[in-house]
Amino acid sequence: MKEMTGLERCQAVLNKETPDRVPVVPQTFMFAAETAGFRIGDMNKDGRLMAESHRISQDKYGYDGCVIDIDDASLAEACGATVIFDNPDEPALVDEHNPLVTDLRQFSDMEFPDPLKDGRLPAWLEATERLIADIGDRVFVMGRSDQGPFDLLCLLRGTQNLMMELITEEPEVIWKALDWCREANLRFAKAQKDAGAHATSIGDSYAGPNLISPEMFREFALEHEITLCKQVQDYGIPWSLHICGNTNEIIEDMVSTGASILEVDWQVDMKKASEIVDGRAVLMGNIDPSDPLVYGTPEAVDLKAKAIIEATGGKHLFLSSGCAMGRRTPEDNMRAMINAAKKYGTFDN
Amino acid sequence: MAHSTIKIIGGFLGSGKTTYLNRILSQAVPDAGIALVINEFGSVALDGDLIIHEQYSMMEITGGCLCCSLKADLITGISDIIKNEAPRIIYIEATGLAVPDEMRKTLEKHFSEEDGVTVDPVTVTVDCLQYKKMKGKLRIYDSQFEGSPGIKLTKTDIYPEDLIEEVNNHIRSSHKDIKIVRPAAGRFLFNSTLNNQNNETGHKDNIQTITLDREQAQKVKKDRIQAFCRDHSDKIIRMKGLIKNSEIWEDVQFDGENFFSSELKKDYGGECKMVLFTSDENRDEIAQKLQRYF
Repeated sequence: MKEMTGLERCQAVLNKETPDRVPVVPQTFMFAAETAGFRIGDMNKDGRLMAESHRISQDKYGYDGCVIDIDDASLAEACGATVIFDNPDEPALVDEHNPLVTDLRQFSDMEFPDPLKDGRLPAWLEATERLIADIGDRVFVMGRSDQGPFDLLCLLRGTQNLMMELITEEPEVIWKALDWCREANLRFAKAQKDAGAHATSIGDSYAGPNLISPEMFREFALEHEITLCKQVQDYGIPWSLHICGNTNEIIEDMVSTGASILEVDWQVDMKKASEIVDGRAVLMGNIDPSDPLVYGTPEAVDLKAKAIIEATGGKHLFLSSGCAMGRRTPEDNMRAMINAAKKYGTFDN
Repeated sequence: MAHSTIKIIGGFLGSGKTTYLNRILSQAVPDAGIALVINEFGSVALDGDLIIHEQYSMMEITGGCLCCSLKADLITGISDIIKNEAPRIIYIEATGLAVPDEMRKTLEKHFSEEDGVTVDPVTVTVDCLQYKKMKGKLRIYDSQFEGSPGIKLTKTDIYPEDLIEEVNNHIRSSHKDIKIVRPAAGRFLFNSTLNNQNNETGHKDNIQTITLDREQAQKVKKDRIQAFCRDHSDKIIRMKGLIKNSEIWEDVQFDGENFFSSELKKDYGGECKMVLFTSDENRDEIAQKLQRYF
């Protein structure tokens, strides 16, 4: 088979066609910054530097797809939340001790953020535009739309407060607040499409079983993810759902959103997940970003990547880290992940 | 080779981890060789500010994802502390949204007796009132009890005895191998009088609320309610309110020990409101004093 570009490889998998080999789409914003010699604090307001970090890192290692994000705080910031930039080596944080919203009913009077104007969302979009212009003809570019409805609500209300209110507040009030957060995310997701991204995604990890039960996930988070997925994909861009942590219990629910890609973390059993998903979505994952990617050897990374490819048959798969890669990931470990796709994930026909 | 023992203090948000850690530190002898790792999820390191840390080295791990970069930072951070300071004890205050036993497993995987490091069983702080509200209802709350940690019941000096006993018995019936410690006379002591009976059925909830009406809440001044809570901190379990002073809306809260306030970012547009939680036996006294306040 003729060797494909990274973009062709990823699009073949998304189109349920057979690629020349399993594509590698690592989640690299911190790793790319380190590779490029930038500090997160120096580039988290600068779309040009964000794009440059991905371009340099992708050029050095030759992986197939770039995932654009810079922290978990940008959409919340654009909504009006206070964000803390006190450590230039780490992603910015939402100040949850002083939440934007002190009563979930406040959302009815709040204006939606404009992704072209508010906070650092324009910088994210500039990064997408630049990266598409530079390498988008051959490399898959996923422009994230930051946090999904449930995560965004946690950040705007304060996770501690919301966890309490999931039990004490009227479900309808929580539901309406989530509606607002879904709409805020939708606008950013559409802007990523307009900026040229090949796919977009949300992180909704606070809705995962590490924090709330699958029953609570279905009561509060799932319907909003389903609606958002349809709205975004109807706009013409594949949508990816990132819920890190142990999501074994909700894989079927994640598929039911209609997402084109499901980003799963290292605790997920890829063989079982692959059987459940059964080609209805692309699984993206799931090497532990800490061990082996930071603390293990290249041989350990190779073994894990091989196991993932074997568990899934290499089909409907983007080989990736389970979540964001640490900036201290050794160069040899990154190369081991990419080489494993070439060694174990090649298709002849 | 110097030996370090890692002690993880877990517990849900607001369960009293920092208070417990402060208590340990305040009783430690000078130059005890203690290092602190504060891991507060998704927020500023407020707990770090509250810690009495003048004579201890302290590292804060904030931000990152629930399960990913934080884990790498934790391992790297503790490795650095052991290498540079060789402390005798490293206390880790886990975020209230972490699974403490997962943290212990991660550390046990990376540090061993051969390296001169012991990872002790986890200690989890439990607020009895919070336990009644959250247990069995919120996954991350239940996850605090994974791995049979040692339990420290907190705030027992302000909760009614039957609530404490109910929680005590419930934990014992659900986790038979858990050791429970509760404070007596202001100190943490092993309680040998605990029994294994579960008397949850028929229990009377002795937590009472005092709700201010709109007119009363409109008169509340931040400084005065802060002083009122402080002066009656032995009897007020919790207070929460939205007040308006000089055209500025503020969210005010008291958790039984600390008073917090934050200015609302936008005009709230609603009504002033305030509610206080007390034990049954203290309700009337606090309500009467509030009436005099107005």
